[in-house]
Amino acid sequence: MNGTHTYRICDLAIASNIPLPELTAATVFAADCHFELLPPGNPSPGNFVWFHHWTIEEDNEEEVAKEACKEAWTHFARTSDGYLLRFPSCGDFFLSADTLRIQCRPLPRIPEVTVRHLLLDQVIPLVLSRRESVVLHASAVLTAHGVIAFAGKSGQGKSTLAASFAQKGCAMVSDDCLVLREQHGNWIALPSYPGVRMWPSTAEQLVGKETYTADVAHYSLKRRVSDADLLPFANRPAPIRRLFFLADETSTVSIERLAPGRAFVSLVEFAYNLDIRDAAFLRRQFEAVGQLTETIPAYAIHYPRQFASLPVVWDTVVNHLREAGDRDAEGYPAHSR
Amino acid sequence: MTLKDTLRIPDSVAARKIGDETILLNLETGTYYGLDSVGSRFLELLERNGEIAFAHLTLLQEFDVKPEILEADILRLCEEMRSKGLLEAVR
Repeated sequence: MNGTHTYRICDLAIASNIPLPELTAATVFAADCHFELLPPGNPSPGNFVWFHHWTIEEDNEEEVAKEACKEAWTHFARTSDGYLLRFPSCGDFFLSADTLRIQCRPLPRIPEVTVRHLLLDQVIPLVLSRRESVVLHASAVLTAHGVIAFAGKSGQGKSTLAASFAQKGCAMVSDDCLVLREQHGNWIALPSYPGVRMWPSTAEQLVGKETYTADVAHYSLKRRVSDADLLPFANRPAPIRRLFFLADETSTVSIERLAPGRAFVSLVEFAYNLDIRDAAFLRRQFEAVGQLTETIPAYAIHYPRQFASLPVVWDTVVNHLREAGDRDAEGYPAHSR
Repeated sequence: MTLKDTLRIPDSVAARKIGDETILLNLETGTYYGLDSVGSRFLELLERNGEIAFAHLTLLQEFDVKPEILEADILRLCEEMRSKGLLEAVR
């Protein structure tokens, strides 16, 4: 492919026919995946059988964005040689069955920044779900006690929470797509790519008005913050230590251990899955999530969604990790915690 | 369905004990189900010996419950699980 640019995201070596400035360029001997941006055009004709749909509904602060998000649907269909992911207001993504090849045909006048956002934050996680043990819709940071993840629905505040930890010196591991790889019974978190997407008011509160931020997509008011001095980013895999599921807002901060069954169901809820009808994949994911549930303790975290409360959340989580570390040192079995 | 019937988990279902619960996944529909600790124990006995009667007898020894009530509860659970494709009759 002429004009090929190569990058690495979550240990996936990707070659692209357009620059992907959100990613760090990497020298790649053999790409795991090739992305090609096709000329703009109308949606591919054909009687596709849509077997799955995504709706993105966020608790947005601006009405304009709220309306845009309501329209941001993704439809999934199988094709003769793979999958079609249709973003009705943006364009079509074609994936080969082996996920080695991704092509995008955007609708006319859809800017490249939107294509890149859809590729990096929606399509690549699905590609990774076919290749890795578990891929979660979660933010994660590297603490002194290992990686901790915050899983939650869009708009629940996981990016804000992770960014607030990053400001305390914990390197960001992922903003939205957390890859967990099982290695000989241990679970490793792979860094995704630098940058956090946040609402303008959140960016202003956390990193200041003067910080440079970039567009995320033409339909979103969110800003991308990639300043490594403000939000350091992890550059190597590290063991995952705790999973926190963002629970309903409360007036105080509290952490409660999830029963194993509930942890399992929560993990399934937040796991990416390209093909929900692929029995072999479902069985593999079922086993992986089962192992993860038995190995990594999961908790529900309740807290007020106010910037002023973030330092209290930090203190509570750090104390929790410190106490858990003490118990680990005493040899408590993970499943009894 | 009666206590004399024999059931098993079909190949199209994945099951895993998580804590004292059991999670089941119907791979044909992609739907997950959960069994509480008692249901989980029942399924464990059914996997060991497919006869519902065996599970009924064992659970009678483990729980303080009247035989007819346990039988009704077990048969209702079996019917429900079979209707969701989580159990199948052994011929």
